[in-house]
Amino acid sequence: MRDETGDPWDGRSLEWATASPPPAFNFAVLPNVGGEEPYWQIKRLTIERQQLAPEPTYEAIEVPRNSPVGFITAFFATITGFALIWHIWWLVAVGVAAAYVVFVWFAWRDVTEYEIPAEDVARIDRARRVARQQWLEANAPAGGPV
Amino acid sequence: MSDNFDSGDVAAGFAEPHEYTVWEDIQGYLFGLVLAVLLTAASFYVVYTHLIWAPAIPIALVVLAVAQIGVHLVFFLHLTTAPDNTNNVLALAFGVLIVALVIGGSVWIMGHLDERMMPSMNQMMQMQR
Amino acid sequence: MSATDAVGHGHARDVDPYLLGRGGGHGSGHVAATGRGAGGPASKAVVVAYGFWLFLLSDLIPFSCLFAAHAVLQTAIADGPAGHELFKPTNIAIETACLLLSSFTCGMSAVASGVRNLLWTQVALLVTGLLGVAFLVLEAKDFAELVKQGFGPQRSAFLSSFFAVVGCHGLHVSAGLLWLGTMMAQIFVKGFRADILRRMLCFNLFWHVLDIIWVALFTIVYLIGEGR
Repeated sequence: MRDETGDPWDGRSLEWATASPPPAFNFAVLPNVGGEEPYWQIKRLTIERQQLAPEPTYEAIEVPRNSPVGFITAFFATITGFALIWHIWWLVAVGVAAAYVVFVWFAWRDVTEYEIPAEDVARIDRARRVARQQWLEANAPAGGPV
Repeated sequence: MSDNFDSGDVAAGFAEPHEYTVWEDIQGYLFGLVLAVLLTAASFYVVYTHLIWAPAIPIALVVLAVAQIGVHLVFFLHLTTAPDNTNNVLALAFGVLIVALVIGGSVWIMGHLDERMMPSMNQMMQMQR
Repeated sequence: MSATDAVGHGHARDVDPYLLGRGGGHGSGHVAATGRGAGGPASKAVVVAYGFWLFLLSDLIPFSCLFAAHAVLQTAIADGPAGHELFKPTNIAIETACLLLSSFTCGMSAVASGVRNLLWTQVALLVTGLLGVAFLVLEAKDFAELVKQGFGPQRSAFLSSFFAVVGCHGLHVSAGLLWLGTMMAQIFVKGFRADILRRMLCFNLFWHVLDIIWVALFTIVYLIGEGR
């Protein structure tokens, strides 16, 4: 009974057009938006024609690398805040200095993104399309929820 | 997303480098600097001499400050009224709205409160003298 | 990718007039849509600069709160000194000149990095930094002098708000100088890489906005306060 399409409530806007949980790249191909409620229009037409839109051309997608820096900086910010409240001036200096060092370390990265290859994008999106095809078959035009 | 410098919109701080020569670019900054210096000097002059009628000095200073901020925005931040700058101008307008509400609103409300509150002991004694 | 039009032009568009999943968003499509976004997302530099511009505008909000506090507390001097007894116009004029010139040299560094001239970029950034340091030193000396005379932030609400708003600006300048030093080191080591140029752009925005705030600051705090 679990919904596999990422669109359990027959949504109207584009956030329902991707899987749930969404993949790292969100959308396999960037959607063109021509007006309000684009996803609703697409679904209506899909049901009318009884077929999904043709498979798009998949390309590799760049996504940012993960980093613990935000968490570490927040840790030192907390220390700094605590020290400021209690007038522990040496600890304030330590906290600020450490936050600055972490900032420089983060800024010095040479590789900030990694690429998801087109085959992986295709594989993940095809799985979603299978789920959408099953949804389509379950919602025949005569008596569909539209 | 591709690399720097292509499509329609322009961000604040940008002057498309292939549109201006280096000297024209520098000229823009120089002109802005000269204007800003003049406006700053005028501000100080207004306060420390009797050129302007005294009760009007705060307004004069505000006008000069707004003018100088405009000079900064146009000549240093390259904020223009061109359509490719619309996003930046709108964002700035919204920022200005919030600032006006926060500062103007606070002064207005606190002023009213001040007027309507009972004077403190200190103030009452001073009124008696 | 051909241009998209109203429904009915071709098989794909019959099913999906908005061509969801057709990948037109790489600056190549001409969507018949409203707004300026036709042609896909903007370049990274534009997006980064716009995002940073929004952040700077949001940074105006704490400043406007502190300004509002100072404006409201103009008369809360608690039998202590008022503005005109405290502020020395010469110092303020020199500080303003330092910051204004540093804004100009920051612009010069942007011009130099536009033509990828490493020497002049570093020289302009260095001068910007030195002027910023001069500004901070003068301001710190002023503060120390005030505290020494017993007119520190604890003396009255007026002085508390004064130290808060001017101090907040000074903290921003200090953080900016740390950033500036890091940028200079990065340009020296890594050259004019695309992401470093984007950071330079953000730093330019930051430094110019800081000067704009100083214009408002010296007008309201020093000059208008002077008149009371």
